[in-house]
Amino acid sequence: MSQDVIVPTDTELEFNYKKYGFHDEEESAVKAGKGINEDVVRQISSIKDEPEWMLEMRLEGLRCYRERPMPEWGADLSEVDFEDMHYYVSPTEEKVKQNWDEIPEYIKETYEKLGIPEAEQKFLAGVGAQYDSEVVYHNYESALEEQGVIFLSMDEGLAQYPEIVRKYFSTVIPINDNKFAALNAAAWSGGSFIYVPKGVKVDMPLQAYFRINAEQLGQFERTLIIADEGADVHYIEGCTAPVYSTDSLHSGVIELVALEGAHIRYTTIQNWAHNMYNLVTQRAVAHKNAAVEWIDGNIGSKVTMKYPCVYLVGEGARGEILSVAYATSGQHQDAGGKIIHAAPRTTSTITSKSISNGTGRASYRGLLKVEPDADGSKSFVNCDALLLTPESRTDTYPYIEVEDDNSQIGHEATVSKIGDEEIFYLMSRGLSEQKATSVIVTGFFEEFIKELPMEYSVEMNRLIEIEMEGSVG
Amino acid sequence: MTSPLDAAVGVTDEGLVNALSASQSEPDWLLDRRLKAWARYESLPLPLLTDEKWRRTDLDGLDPTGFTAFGENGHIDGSSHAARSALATTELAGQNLQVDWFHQSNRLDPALASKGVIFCSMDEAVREHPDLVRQYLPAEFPASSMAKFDALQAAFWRGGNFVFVPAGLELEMPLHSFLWMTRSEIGTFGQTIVVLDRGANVQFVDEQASSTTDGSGLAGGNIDISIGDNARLDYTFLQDWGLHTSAFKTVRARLGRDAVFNYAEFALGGRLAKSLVEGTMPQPGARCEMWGLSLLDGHRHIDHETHQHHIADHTFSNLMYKGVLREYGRSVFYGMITIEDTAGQSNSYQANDNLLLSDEARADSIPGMEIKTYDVRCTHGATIGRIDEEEVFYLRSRGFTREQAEWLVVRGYIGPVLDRIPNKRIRESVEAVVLRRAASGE
Repeated sequence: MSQDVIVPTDTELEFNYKKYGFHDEEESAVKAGKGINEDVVRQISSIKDEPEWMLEMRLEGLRCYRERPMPEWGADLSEVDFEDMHYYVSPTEEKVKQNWDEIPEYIKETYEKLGIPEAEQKFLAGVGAQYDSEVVYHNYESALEEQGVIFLSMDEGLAQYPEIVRKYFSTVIPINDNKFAALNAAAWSGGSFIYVPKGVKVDMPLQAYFRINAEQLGQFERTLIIADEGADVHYIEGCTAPVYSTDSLHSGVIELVALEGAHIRYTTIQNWAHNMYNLVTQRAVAHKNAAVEWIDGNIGSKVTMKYPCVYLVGEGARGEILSVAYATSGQHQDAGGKIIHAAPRTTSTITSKSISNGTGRASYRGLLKVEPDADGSKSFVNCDALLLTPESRTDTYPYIEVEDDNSQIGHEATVSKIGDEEIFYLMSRGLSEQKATSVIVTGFFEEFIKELPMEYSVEMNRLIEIEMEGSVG
Repeated sequence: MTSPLDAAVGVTDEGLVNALSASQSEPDWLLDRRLKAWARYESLPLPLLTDEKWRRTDLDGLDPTGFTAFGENGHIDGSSHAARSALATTELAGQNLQVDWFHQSNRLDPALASKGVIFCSMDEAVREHPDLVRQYLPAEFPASSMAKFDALQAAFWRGGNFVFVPAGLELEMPLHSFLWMTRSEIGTFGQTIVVLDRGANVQFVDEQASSTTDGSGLAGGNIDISIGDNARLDYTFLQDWGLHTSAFKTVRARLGRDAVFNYAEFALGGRLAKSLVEGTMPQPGARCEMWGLSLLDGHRHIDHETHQHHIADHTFSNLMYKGVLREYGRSVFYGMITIEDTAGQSNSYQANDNLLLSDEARADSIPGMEIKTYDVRCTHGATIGRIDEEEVFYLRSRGFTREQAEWLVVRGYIGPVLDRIPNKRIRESVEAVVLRRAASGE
């Protein structure tokens, strides 16, 4: 498959952001009151008919959320009003449908605009689509079922496989890890639960769309993916959201466990509406010879704070983080990655690419840590930032901590603007300045785009084109 | 005559500030500045491990006011101590000698003095050139991670250096300051001011050292530098404290148009050192070079914070800090490049490399950037690793033993920082000390 830069045609240019910016009339069946307290937490837990230990975890989460301070080191969160949000909204009281025909009509319309049915027919192994706080549609190919692959909403996973959930839930990201992880532990709803048994390789990516459709709704998805020994799985998460005037919050917690020799790739294309606070905790544990890859694209949201993390706890484990961010006016993408080398001969790379446009601000914030016994580990961090306008801003905050002498660690970062010569060359070949800019930006993100499945690459290229509209001249 | 200073243990109250100022017959404005600084010191909490810029440096109960900073001068023979300087046999244009908290002597080539060069202790400068001192001693105390120590130093400084080079004057030979601490349980607080008028050019070597004694010591200093348009300052800082000394310093340089600040720092000794070095470029065309070498063996802990601050357009800065870590050595580098939105067409580079030669050594590196405009070029990097085995293999294939080969690699690694010293004789003198200290870690 060719990975050449795709120069969109004029027809493609008409692709409208509004396609993803619509919203339906709310028909939510259960909507918790604003704010969070013990009653709300108990209500959520009782609606979901959860075991006692999960309720205890939620209450512990609520305690930690109240105790932990707001982070002062990252993006500006002073405008988030946690008391002015709904912590649970279910779009329908009915339980998850396996059959497409039984899905409520207005939700189906939403997904058709997003192209889920076609995507599924063409290519997907399974779909978990999250609409508001409840997973409403779930289907995966019988082949996967035969292989013993579990792909459920987190709520179903808890109901059907409580032992597995209890064994791993909150083990990668402790409840008190940070304020938002604690809030998620208290209020989580939806998200995916995936278990891939020993030696099973899932050929096609598992995929979930997330949408937020209720005003002031905090969406607290919770995802847990376990790849047993030698298993292989790729999970894709893509987000779009309707535009509302009131600030909204998305605070997910994603935990990955890659047991010996397993491979997990987790791809995110985050394109929330520009009023969204996206505060996500993503962390993976990679055991002996396992590999975890975070492919993380942050295009939307008002504020994103997200630093996917890999703990390399087994000898020979590998971690890779590829993070791209695009920040235009009104946006602050505070993204990056964290790698902890805690075992010998572990390897990692972090590649960060960001573009700041308008008055947008993109920050790379990362941690690279080599523990004393991580003998012979290697890591390289590379950050590139491109600035498109005089008012744009970029920051780099890399933390490197090395306690082992037999390791090779490198970090490099560059910041530059688009070369006038590059623009001049492309314009001399007949491209408008705007198109030339798009082509260069697309090329800058190439490393990310080429890691995506084909249809996502196309969508990504279109998104860049849309974002570049009116940014030049 | 007795003064409260003679009996004072530690620098613990306002009365001592008054007594110190009175003992030197200082003008009121200076006393006020000291009192203001002391009030500021008292109002600020000691940095904790929870403070972002102190997360990796534990003061571990250190009380910066607990060291004796005053006493009698009777027993000191300055000239015998001067022989301990790395530059004892180097030809110089002038030299300031301070032992413990007393300024001993200063000499300056009379030809330069007649041209208007001033090089003396700060105490003398306050007496002889009060207006100049008042002009260049910062009236405000900027907020920073070092604010607590800056304030203590500003309240109790004594000695230190005052350097003034008039417009257009280029000094061929360097000026040298040597501070030697003889005793334990004492603290020195210094204030140095270096002022270069337009087009002036000088190399200043700031050397501070002590032999290892049983007790701990404290060395604190504020260094304020003003470099006029088209002027050039080569500032070499050489620190070889004894094993138990804690050192805190803040260097702030402000560059005029097309000015050059070439700073090279050699941190060889001490137990705990934390420093902040800041180059501010508010005028176009300024150029800031900031280089450092730290030798970290034993339990030495050195924490370097740096700031390359680009305010005007067409400014350039280049930073390279290197560490060689042995045994339980611990290095922290916290660098920041700030490019303001008024600093278009600026270039900035920043690198921190650490060579880890033991399992227990630890290096933390945080090379940060904040870029607020787009027409700039910024690069930073950091490497942490051990000696390249291929280089060792190559050298051994040419007949060197492993020890010799590793030593050659270390020498090659620290060479570029030594090369930042423009004066050949100074370079060779500093090199001799650095290599001796680097080799003794073997």
